[in-house]
Amino acid sequence: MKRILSAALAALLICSLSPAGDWPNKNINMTVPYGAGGTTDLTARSIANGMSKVLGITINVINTPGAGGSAGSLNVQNARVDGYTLLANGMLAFTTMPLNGYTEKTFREWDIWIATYAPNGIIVPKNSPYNTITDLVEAIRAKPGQITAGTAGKGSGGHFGAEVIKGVAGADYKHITYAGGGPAVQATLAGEVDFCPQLLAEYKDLVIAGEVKALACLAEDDIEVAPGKVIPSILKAYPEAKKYIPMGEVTGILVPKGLPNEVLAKLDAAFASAAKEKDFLDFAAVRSFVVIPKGRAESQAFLESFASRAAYILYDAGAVTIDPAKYGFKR
Amino acid sequence: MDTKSRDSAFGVVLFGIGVFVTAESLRMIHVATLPPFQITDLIVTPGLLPCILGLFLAFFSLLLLIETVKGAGSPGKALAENLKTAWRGILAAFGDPDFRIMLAGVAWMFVYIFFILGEIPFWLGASGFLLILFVFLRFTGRGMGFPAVREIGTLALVTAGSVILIMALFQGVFKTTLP
Amino acid sequence: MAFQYMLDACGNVLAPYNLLMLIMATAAGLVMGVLPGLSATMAIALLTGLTYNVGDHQTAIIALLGVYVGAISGGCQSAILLNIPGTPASAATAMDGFPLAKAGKGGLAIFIATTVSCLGTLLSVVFVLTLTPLLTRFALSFASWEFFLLSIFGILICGALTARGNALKGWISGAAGILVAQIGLDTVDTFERFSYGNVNVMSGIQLIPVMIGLFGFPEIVLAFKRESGGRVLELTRFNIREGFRIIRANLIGIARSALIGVGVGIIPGVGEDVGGWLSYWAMKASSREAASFGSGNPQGIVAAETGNNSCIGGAIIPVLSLAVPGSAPAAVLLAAFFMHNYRPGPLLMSESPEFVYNVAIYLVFASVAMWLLALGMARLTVRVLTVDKKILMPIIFLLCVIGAYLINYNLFDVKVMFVFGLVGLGMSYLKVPAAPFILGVVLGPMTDANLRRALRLSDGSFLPMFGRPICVAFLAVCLFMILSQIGLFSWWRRRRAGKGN
Repeated sequence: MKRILSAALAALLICSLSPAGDWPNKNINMTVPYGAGGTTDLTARSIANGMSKVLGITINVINTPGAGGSAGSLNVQNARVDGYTLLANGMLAFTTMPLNGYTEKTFREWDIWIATYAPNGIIVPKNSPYNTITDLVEAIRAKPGQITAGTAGKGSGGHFGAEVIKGVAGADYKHITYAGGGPAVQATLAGEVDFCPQLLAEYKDLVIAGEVKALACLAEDDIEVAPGKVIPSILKAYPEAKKYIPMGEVTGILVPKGLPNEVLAKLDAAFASAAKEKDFLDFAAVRSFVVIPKGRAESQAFLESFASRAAYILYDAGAVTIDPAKYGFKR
Repeated sequence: MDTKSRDSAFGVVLFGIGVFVTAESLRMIHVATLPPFQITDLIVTPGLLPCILGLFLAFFSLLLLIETVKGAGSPGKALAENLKTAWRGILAAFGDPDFRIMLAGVAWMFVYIFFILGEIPFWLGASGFLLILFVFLRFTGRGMGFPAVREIGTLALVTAGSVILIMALFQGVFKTTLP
Repeated sequence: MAFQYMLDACGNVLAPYNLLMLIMATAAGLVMGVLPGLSATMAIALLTGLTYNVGDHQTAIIALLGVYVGAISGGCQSAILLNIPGTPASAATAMDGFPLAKAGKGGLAIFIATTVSCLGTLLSVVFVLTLTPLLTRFALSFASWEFFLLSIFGILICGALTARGNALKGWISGAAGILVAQIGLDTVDTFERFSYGNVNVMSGIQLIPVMIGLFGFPEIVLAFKRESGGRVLELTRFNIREGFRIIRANLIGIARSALIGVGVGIIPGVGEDVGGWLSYWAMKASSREAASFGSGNPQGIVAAETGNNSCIGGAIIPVLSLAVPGSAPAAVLLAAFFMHNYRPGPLLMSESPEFVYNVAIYLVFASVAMWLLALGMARLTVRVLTVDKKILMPIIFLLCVIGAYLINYNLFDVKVMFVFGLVGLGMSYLKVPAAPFILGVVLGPMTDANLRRALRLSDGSFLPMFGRPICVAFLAVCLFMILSQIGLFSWWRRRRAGKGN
């Protein structure tokens, strides 16, 4: 009896004393601050799978939606920096968090790996009276503050798209927020909002099938989503929009600074490998993402200009009252 | 404690909660009008639903209180009577052995969750928690008295068995990490 | 063509490796469903990661559907035997399931629950195959006003059903639940509500810890009492014939619950939890034995379990036709579909037409597998309950702790569970029902966001509500329920009777 007990105890002891050795020695959690099935979520899962293979453990994707992506981001920011908690987020929402008053830290205090770029598109419900982007802009000019735009929340990719439209029209829209890109697109299908400036990737199939009408996209060139179905760039109708274009969401993996170099090196390698995985590239192609993998230094350089552009769009539009210059964003 | 006194006490407490929530929401509505939010429209202020709910709770609690004093001569007196009975009932509870045992059990669970969990390896904390709880329950069971060494041994085996099973299931099959 | 696809799908499932995967996945789903604290959403999420690299995409889809069916169905066992729902979807089953178990008929209850779960899923598959386009239109007619009224409606029903006679306590519970759901950063403006700077509270109160706390703690703590040692329940052998007899007698109820379940499932964002309650309500409203609901009427179990399982098919319909999830587990399923390079949505029928039939057939096989596995498992779970309560409950407590932790790997959730456990103890003592509270937490965010959104769209006016048919229907039913509870009708009847004297 006693022997069985001691054997059992010994077994337990041995099991628990897992080598505190190399990182990673247990599963990693990657927080996606949006609901499941959205672009950030899917991109994150695709990359997480690629990275899992290289790192040899499972990366669990945890959805923590809320407040335009800040709830989940703040969770990761406040968590222990031990390499087991990563964040996947879109850079538009993420880099403008300080301007919305969510935090004092900027993107410069994170290590970031950028993965993809997804342009905004402007869609309207199937039976909407607007057929071209000019129709919509004219309507906004005629009835300022009344044309409704459905987005995934303040600071989301859609919000930026709407601000671009506002800049082009010179008049305001009415901002209706939803719990994510998915619900915003759903609302457009249900005809609840006049237009939806969310990312093209979120509703590409609906455009192809004709369930919604696509008026324009916020990339520099036209986008052909299906043979014969082309979404014109907004520059065609409004060349003065050039200062805002290209606008879209840039998605990447982030972790607060402070990890030891060996861990960072492993993350570098895992990310680089994941960005080359066939499954990931296929996934990006299907959804019209542009794959632009960047290492940590490159990402910081890229974000200096990207974040500034995004910050000033919000500031000039009056969507935030904090001056971006306070955080070192230059025009 | 009979239903009337229970519900009276509950009604009073609930009314307090309702008032608190309403007050808080009004404060939220006020704060929302300041930067950085600057929401002046009452219909979209974040404090709207909490305010409505707070008012509902206060209203419902009043309905509840009314029900507890229905039929009595003087409602005020009846309510006071009910509350006094409730208070006496609470004091009496501490004399009830069953209540004391449950309280001890809950206290031990509190200690486990707030102090032990996450600080030491799972198997150690869980085993300790289970074993002490088992022995305690055995000890306080009707007419039991302090368990013999053999009984403690069996309980220890059960503890070990359950912990091993749990760890095997969650870490082995489901591949999740335990606290 | 369709027939050919279905045959191919059968062939897929019956391949030995896939069949094995199906059985293992369904079993895993059942286990996760039984364990309080592990929900269907979590189960699918866990398995999505595990099956990502399993190679053949078909195998992964089979496994995921198996887990889905298993998890939604498994919750009934712990709801019936322990009064602790294994998943939020089974909360309605506990209403009549637990009293039946206390009366010694636990085996019968589980048999009925499992069989109608299987039937519910099968019926919903029929809907998936036949009525998808029509039902999708229905789903799209739900906008902010409808969602707001739906959540109010759900709470009103649940409150009325769970508090014997007087719905007041039920509605208090529901209102409190909605209030708890408001805690944290609000979803529209990121405004701190009731969180006072605590980062953990800012991300809101999770549903599962609240559910485990409210339902689990009373059962666990009450077991500490001195004379409660001994078997949890006495279980008599049950007669399979009796089980089938009850089911046969309620075929109409089953059909109605399945219809309700599919309807609820289709509505984006409302899922299995609401489906169970609505079906239960409909069954009680149309039953001649309405008074005995809540004390162990098998009809209650029939309604609740058919309702929550048929939501599975219902939730999958918008996933397939629009890439819009009909419920929380379906959202994770959608993500998994994308990950395996399928394109659910309007292009599905042109890109991969066989996918819909595959899903349908896999669900059918999963239901049957679930039925067999669940009944087999029931023998084991039922035996576990002959274990001394004082041994069982602490272990269940440990499982609850783990379940709460696994949501976000955050110890805070476990602490939330404890706090709500205390609340649950209080509620149980005060005879305030816990189920409306849970539903309030589930539907709270929907109530809040949609109310404010709808008001913003209409510039503060409530008028649009009256112009929309679905809203008017909801308003009418809600009004009716409130009035009948206030006793307006009985007062009127009494007055007339008084006049007659």
